[in-house]
Amino acid sequence: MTLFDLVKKELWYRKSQLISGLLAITLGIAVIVAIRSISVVSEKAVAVKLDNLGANILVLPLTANIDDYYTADIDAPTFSEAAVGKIMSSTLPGIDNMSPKLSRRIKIGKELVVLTGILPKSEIASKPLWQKTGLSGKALKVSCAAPKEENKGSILKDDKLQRRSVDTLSDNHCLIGFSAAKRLNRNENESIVIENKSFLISKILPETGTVDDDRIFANLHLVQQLLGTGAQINSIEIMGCCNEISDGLLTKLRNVLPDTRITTIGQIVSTQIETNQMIKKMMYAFLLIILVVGGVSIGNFIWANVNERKKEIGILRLIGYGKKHIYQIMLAKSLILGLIGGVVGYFLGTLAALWLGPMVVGISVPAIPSLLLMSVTLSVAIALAGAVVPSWLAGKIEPFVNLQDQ
Amino acid sequence: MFLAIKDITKIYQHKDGAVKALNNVTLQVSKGDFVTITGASGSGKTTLLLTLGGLIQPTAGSMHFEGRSINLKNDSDLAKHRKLHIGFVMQHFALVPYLTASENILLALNNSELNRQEQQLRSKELMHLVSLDHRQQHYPRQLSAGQQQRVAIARALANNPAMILADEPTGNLDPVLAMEIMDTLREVNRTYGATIIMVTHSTEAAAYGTRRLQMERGSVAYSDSQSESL
Repeated sequence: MTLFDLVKKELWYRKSQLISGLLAITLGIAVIVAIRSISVVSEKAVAVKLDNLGANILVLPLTANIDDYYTADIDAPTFSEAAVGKIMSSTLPGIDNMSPKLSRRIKIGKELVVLTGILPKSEIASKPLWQKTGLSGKALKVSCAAPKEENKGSILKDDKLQRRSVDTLSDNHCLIGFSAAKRLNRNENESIVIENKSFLISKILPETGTVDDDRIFANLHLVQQLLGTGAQINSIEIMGCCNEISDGLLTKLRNVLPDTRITTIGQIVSTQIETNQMIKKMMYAFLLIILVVGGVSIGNFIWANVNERKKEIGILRLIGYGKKHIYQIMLAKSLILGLIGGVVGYFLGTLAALWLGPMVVGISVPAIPSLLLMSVTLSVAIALAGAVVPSWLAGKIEPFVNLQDQ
Repeated sequence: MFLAIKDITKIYQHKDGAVKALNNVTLQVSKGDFVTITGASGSGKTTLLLTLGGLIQPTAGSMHFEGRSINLKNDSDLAKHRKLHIGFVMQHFALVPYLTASENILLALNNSELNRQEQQLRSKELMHLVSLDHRQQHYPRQLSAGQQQRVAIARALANNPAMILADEPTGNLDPVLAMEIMDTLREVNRTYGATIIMVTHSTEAAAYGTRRLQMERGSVAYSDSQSESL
């Protein structure tokens, strides 16, 4: 008969007490697991959304009009290309790629198109459709896309990992948007004269339904020469990591480039980021509640148990068990409660997340096995913390207390 | 001397003032004695028994067991002393309600030198000794009062203690059962040579003792041997 055997038998003997003692901690853990499961998937959903959009941060001159994110660079005032170097030297985390641009409306024949200068090595093939054209350069280095352990096995795929740059675009080549090509009646491998310079059309881009369809893309430095702007640009598109954007990447960028206007695709991401932040805050609030309520509940259970078992504790002391053994018995009991609470709480919370996920954030939530360890650790820590004082008091019970009572 | 206590005093501090439960008690017990202690309620007999068992710390005085001082302060040392050298038999049996008769005995064998198999064997032997072989898997509530007390005696013998302290072991039993229990205790005393010190109100039970003490107001008022202080 080991102490553990004794604890098991005693817990089983007082099943109803066990269940009521477990209730608070189990439900608390279940709530935390449910919230965490939903928030993990929700954060992932934002990341995927942003990645699918390609560039998600736009750096513009301070006076630029940003009514329309996608046309904000056209005819905007310019600023020095040195801004790119400043961002690079700042080594801010979460900046996966930068593509500086210079855009101007120009006329080719009678047609008005947008000439956009890009740097081929850094220009993001930002529209997934572009990639279908065979514009496949080197894979972009992605700083934050390595999925967290808890995201592995998620139903959501991170498209950013597949994103590639426009690898080469020599001085006499250009890419032409779908509408522009149509209006100018040009095909691939034909030549086109832009600002008195002849270019070979290396690709006609597929239709995207955006202003890009009316753009002609050429090498940035050549466009700067043709337009006579010098080393000026009027926008930098940045592919930023979603989590870093949530954590204040824009503010950090504004500190690096105080004379620019930095914006993001606010209306698309802000709602979900706000939802994620709200979920996170809720989780911390529940965490605090469970720490207090769960700890008090377990403490109360152990204390009631100690009072009810004064005679049994006396018996144990009588037959040679020391205070140390009484502590061990009480702590072992709370350890078992913590383990059961953690495991049951995890499964209840996961079931709740599977059910509530589609209702709350409109996404299906998979089970996240790594949360089991967190649940059990948290639950055991709360249970042990709650049991310390009652266990200490139990050890102080004199052996002869209640032994003369029936 | 097997057990020697000298000038033991125990004072309880209460809100209403101090109560002297034991007053300079001196007592010597030889190995194999069967000492019975009688006295009115509040005379200090149970306090004396609990003090001998290391369950109460005396306020003053010295205690020696088999030549060693047992004025121990350390809880762990006291617990070890109780486990190895003393068996207790209480009026209300002091059995753990959710353990079977056999498990109650095994509880006392926890952390003993015996391995699990030997502990099981020892438990069976003891249940046989108290004629309860057929009740090993019964819970206390399924046993009669006399049977529960016999389980308690078996548990008290688990670690082959040199001394058994019994507090009113027949107080909760009818006269027939009471005599059965007394017969069992006498057998334990004679067969195993265990020294028994028993507190009782019953003159019939007290008659089983080879030595008899009577306590009054915290002191030994009468002893049928010469060594106790009056």
